[in-house]
Amino acid sequence: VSPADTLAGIIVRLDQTPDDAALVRRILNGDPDAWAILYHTYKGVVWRIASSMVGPQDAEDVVQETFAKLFRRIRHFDPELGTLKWYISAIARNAAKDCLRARSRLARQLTEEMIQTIEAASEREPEGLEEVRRCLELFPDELGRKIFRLRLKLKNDKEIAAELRIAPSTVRAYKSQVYAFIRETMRTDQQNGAGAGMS
Amino acid sequence: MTGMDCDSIQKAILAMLAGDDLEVPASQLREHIGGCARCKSALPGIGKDWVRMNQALMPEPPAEFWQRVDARILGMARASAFAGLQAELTRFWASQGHMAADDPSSGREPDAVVHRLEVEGEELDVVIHTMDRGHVRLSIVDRKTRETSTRLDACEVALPSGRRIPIKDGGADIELHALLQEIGFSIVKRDGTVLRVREP
Repeated sequence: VSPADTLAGIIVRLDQTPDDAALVRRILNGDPDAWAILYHTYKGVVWRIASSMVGPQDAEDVVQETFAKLFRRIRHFDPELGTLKWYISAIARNAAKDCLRARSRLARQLTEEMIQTIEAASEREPEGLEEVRRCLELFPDELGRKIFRLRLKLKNDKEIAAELRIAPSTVRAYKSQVYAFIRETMRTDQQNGAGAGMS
Repeated sequence: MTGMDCDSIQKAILAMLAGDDLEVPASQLREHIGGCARCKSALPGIGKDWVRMNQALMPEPPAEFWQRVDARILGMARASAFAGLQAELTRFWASQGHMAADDPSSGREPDAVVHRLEVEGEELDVVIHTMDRGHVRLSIVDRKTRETSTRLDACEVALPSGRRIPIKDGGADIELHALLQEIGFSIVKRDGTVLRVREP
């Protein structure tokens, strides 16, 4: 049975919120569809946590790592302690934090403080999103905007270079310039009293 | 404070979060932040802004992302479910006093369990293999020759629910989760006589 077949077979059932305990029981009983139902029910939740905490570069790895961990730990899920969504979210946040730790070149304490901030921010309802999008459009270099948009589509430097027919070194040259520009623009707007308020 | 200005340092921190190479050496970054109250106090704000920018700019992944990830994760899920069931089944049979054994016919990994059976003086092994696609294969093997035996082809596997599965060509296929739910079985002749499974 291919993943596509499995997906087609369960799609009808996705509009029902599965009962956590029953779903886990089905998984442990070897119901071949139960894993797919769990995955398709919660993959969006995992994506939102991963992408907001680690950004485009490693979001895919965090999503995959989350479900790999879940497969190993599903036996330990206890519906008395919390919902499956809470359990999966906790695994996703831990996977994202591990990824951020691996990237950080700061002292350990500073890294942990920053990760705590990022984790807390990812748990809150997002706000001021239109303002961020508006600031992206203000980035003065069209090539920079194109490169950044392709990064948001989870393309790596090599793929972006091939798609735009430019040298990989040009892609790397932009690096996180657009993030820095957006943040700076938001801060300036805030200081001028026009922004939605960055931190 | 070191020679780097605070704006460059804060851009470098953002680059670090984005997974880019640092233009500022890491030692210089640490040294600056260690001695700069302004940059230190800016860290939580950079973290919050990082999350907000990602939330705004990456609301949904591109379609090809899910095509790629769905295939990989569902493949992993099936393998994981299968491995879990296999372990569960092997544990069950072991708890019933049956030994694990190599598959005599295919030389696969020792993922099978064996019931020893004596039928009118003839020694047979009922070998249970967990197969892919949620099935187990039950094979009847002559213990001396190690070849598949059709000696029990006139018999059926009787599950506790009452369902009967005929043995054909020296074997039978059973859905794995059905077997786990109805754990245990016996082998019966068509006339209802239950063949004894000799304890090891």
